[in-house]
Amino acid sequence: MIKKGQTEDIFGDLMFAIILIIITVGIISTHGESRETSVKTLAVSGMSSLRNIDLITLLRSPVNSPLLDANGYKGARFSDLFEIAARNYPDKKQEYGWIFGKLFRTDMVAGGIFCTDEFIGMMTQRLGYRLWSFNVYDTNNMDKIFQCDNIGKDYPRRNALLEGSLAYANLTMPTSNPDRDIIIEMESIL
Amino acid sequence: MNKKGAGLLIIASVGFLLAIIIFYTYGSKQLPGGEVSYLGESEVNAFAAYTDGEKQLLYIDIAAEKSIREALKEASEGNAAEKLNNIAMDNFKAKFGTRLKNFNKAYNANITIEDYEFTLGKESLKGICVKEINITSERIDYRFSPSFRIKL
Repeated sequence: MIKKGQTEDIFGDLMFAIILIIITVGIISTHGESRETSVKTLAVSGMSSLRNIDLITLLRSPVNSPLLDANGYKGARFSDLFEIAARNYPDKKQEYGWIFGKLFRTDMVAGGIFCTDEFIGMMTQRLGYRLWSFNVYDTNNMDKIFQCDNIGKDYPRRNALLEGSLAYANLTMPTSNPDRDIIIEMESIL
Repeated sequence: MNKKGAGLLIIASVGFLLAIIIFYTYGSKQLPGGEVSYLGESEVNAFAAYTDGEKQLLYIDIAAEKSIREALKEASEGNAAEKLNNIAMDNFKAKFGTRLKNFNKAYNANITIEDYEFTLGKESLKGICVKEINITSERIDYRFSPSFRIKL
């Protein structure tokens, strides 16, 4: 109740309330942003974890290729395919002549083993990615043993990097040579 | 507004502001798993630890399979069937032991052939590892045993 001579400072109370509201909203909004909900960075690391699982699943999966079945590799898995590439580097073995020209090829200039269109088609169907690449290295000297991709030029990779849709996976695998392991790297763009 | 009311309002308002500041400063640190910057970050880290474990298990499986197939092939050349398993197991342990050293180098592990108990049957080879592999990060401690079972 207002006493005689006392004035009610409505404007002052209103300003005080507005200042408090602004301070409250300011605190909530600035601290709220520290828990980033735009998850671009997180999505990339999450995607790479998922791609690692895809790579592991691929290596454990059977190829189901009549070519491999006919040449003593019935029930062979994709890990066996990469291992065959490793066995034929740096020198092609005669006993694996059946795979060159069909799934693998060599390049006189570049060195290493590459893949054929048949291999690319098989991988694209199996992986389900729009664009992908594989590189296989010898762990002893990091020589590139095998490479295969359907990315082609470099700009899809650059664009995917900017968009945050490029994911990586890699793992180390033993071979039939106990002293030699290989590293398999996979890039994928959805 | 009278002085009593104004005083109560100021106390309530300052208290509310203090509560918000304390909540945003210390509240996130009290969450299980600690403070994270991104929604789902802890879950992604847990999944990454699981993925690392799966990579190591794949290595062990392939190493064991290659070792036993090579060992059986070598043992079957010129040895009687009843000695086959014993000779094969000795060969297998030598080959698998070499591959385990490469595994330890690649994945910073410390597993030896002595950590395994092997059982070779007609249709399978089992290797039970008594040691665990430990994958740790800031908030994750993931342990698993790199045992395997290979179908022959």
